[in-house]
Amino acid sequence: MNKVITINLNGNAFALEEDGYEALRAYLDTAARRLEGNPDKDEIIADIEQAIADKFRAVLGAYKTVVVTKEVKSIIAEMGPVQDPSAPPDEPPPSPSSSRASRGAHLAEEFIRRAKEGYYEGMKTFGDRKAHREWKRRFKWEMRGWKRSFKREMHENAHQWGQNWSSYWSPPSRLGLSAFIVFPVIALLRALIALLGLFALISLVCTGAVFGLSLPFSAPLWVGILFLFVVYKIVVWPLKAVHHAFFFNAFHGSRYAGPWVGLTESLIWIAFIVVFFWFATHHRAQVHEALEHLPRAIHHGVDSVRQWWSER
Amino acid sequence: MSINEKFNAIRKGLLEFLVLKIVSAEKVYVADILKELSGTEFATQEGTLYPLLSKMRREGLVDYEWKESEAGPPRKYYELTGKGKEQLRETSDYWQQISGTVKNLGQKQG
Repeated sequence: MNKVITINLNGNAFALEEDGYEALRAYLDTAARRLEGNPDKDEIIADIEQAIADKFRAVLGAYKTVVVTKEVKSIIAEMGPVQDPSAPPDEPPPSPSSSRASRGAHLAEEFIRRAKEGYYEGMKTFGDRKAHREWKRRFKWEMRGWKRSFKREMHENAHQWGQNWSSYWSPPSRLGLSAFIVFPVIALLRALIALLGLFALISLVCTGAVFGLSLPFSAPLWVGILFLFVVYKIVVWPLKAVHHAFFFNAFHGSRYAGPWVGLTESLIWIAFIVVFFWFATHHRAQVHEALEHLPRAIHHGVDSVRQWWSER
Repeated sequence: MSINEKFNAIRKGLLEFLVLKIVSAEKVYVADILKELSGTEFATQEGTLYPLLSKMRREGLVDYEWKESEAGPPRKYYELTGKGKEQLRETSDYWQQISGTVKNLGQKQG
């Protein structure tokens, strides 16, 4: 026993076995997709549906009222694939993921188109109560079928998106040895430069000079800070470039590397800063003293910036 | 690659010319065109023919009229327009020219 679905083909009602219906739906969906952008798309689809309807009619008779799957498939083969002559030649076939993504949208469009078509068809029987009741029953049945297909398609799409998501965001299976050496070294160098930059900034704000070098031409403090920032960016840029080059090489292009690289780099930074400060405070009296005066120096720096700002 | 495959693109390109020729003889509907082509190397299917006829109608080469059918619903009967006749003449001339070229190439002179 097979389930039978009633369909409306260009205004002609037919009962099809469920698998046959799915095959026909796939054929018409593909046809609609291939004719996307063709100004006569609706007319061509109507012609094709009418041609299929004629063929269905030919296999039906007084005692045969259902088109079986085999017949549907044979008729589809007889029709041949729909080819848009205005489409550019040698167009590459759409990728499975993109075709799947667009399938949902096409199905939604097709659902609306069928609903509209069925509705207009029903309006023709408005004067005849019996025919109208029959149309309403058939229309609801068809729409339910389409809704089910649409939901199923959406579910499949969601599953596909889930797979794409996990394959994109999952960490790579194997990392090169170079990545384990290069990343920590670069992170360490960047931490060192950042620390130097910080000290230079503090020195500039507190004393008006960077490691003993005063700003030329009595330039205001903000010019000095801006200059420091630019110098820092220039110094750090090659390291960033190397980091990115290794990153893309190790993780195959745009693929996300997982949280481990970022975490490792952060830990290296923190460890470096802790060790640096521990070493500096225990072994250099000047550093110890500077750190003790740091809060006051920052206040002083902020005040001087504020004063300069109010004097403008 | 078989000879059949090699000439795929040429057959495809010539299909419009052949449809123009078939439609020029009398008003026909799609089944007539398919039947006429079925015994030739240019046998085609509805999936190809409907979009092609639609394009030709858009370009003003053919036009159609609905005619009642005894066997079923009304059918579209296609006929050639003035522009279509002109196109057919030009294409026929060009075809004669390239057939002549193909025939004459490689033949030794006198």
